[in-house]
Amino acid sequence: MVFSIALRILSDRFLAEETAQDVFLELHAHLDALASDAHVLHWLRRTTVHRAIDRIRHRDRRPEVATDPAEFGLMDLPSLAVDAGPGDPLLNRQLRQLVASLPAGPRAVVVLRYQEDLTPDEIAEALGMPVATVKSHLRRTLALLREKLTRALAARPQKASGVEVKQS
Amino acid sequence: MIESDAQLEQALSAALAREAAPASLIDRVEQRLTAGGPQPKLRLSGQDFSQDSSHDQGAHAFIPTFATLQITTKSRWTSLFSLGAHAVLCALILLFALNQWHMRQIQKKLIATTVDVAPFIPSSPLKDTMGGGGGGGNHEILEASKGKLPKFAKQQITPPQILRIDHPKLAVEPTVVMPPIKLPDATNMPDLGIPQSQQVTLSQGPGSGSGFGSGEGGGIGSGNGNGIGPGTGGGYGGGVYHVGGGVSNPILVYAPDPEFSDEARRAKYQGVCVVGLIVDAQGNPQRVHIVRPLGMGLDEKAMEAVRQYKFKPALYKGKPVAVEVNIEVNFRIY
Repeated sequence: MVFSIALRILSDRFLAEETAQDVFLELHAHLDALASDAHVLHWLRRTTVHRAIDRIRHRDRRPEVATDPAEFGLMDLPSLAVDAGPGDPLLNRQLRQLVASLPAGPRAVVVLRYQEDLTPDEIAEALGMPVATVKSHLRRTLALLREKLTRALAARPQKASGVEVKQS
Repeated sequence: MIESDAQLEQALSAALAREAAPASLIDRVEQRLTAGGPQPKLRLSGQDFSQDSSHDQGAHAFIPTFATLQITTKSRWTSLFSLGAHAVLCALILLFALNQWHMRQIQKKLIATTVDVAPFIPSSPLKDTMGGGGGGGNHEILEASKGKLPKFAKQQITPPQILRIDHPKLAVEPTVVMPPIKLPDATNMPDLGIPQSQQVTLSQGPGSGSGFGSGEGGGIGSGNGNGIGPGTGGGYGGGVYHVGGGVSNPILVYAPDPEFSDEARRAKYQGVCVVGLIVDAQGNPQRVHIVRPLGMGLDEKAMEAVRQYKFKPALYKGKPVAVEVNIEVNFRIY
């Protein structure tokens, strides 16, 4: 969970691993304060997000070369099938890339919502944001993603089944 | 194709499925933990989270602190008593000090002595006025030599002297003023002189004036005048004697030092003052007077001192007699 959250937020495996390690060490130091498993979970989620966002800010100050081209989508996008539905691996990758292009706040919200399946209230508590902000982030992000997807799909060359549609 | 939001959400959920961490992650975490020291293992899925029991206490350095110092006394009465005792002591000291401030007059010791006038009483009754004695000399070193007495006369024309001019043009017999009385005489002597003297060499004596002896005037003896004897004036007799010619010196027994006058001390004035006095037959000073003054108030100081002198009286023929002596009082600043 920790690694996954960090990975989705940071889009960098190496940084995600480092963040995960830091989080675990911090957990060890704070074991006294944690009462139950649920508490631990909650604490881990929150700490991971915070640390990940910290790293984003830290990284943004000193821009680095992307280490994982695949994740960042520097490669050419393979053409998406028109009839690609949810769960399509290419679609997944596209979506992941789009999410990585989001700003830090909405990104964290989206990750927590769709990876961890937290309710907006839980997200708000975890991130320390008002609930309204969380909902607004979600709404806007969805709209943005939808638009981007639409554009991406429209931009790709139409794959014809042997039939060249000639625009006459 | 993503048609609706629901589909989009589904796609997102699928896209953002959890991704497993690399297996080495936990190991690396453990390594880092164990590098810091022996730590219990992490078990996220498990129920027992091993509590870290070793609490970091932190050494509490014991810094001794002092309570605020408070000065207290046992009881109020103690402090009151102390105050009272101090007041009493202060009062005593003040009283004692005040007593000492009274000026004390310096008591002068008064010496009262009976004056013996016996030496002044004439020893032989005479019809007319009684003279004193006589004296003379020639400022010579040797005392007057032995010789016979000159003729007695009522009036002296020539004092007796050692004849240096053998054949004077106008010979006048030397005489002394004396009443016609018998005196011990050495008539077998060729020259004039003092019969009692032991001196053989011709000499007139250390006195002054003419005559023989150690006195003054043209007589014979240690006194003043032109008679014979240790007295004053012509004739023979008592009166105040002078030292010499059978009269011994009075011996000083007690002589306190004279004080310096403030004037002389300030001016650093020093010198010798001659005080004349009569030492009577008891050794007390009488008739102290200045013979040679010094000045600056030192004469008075010298007289004051000499008045307190004590003597063993001079002896004439074994009997204490009054003599007139001169004392030099030396004022020196050391």
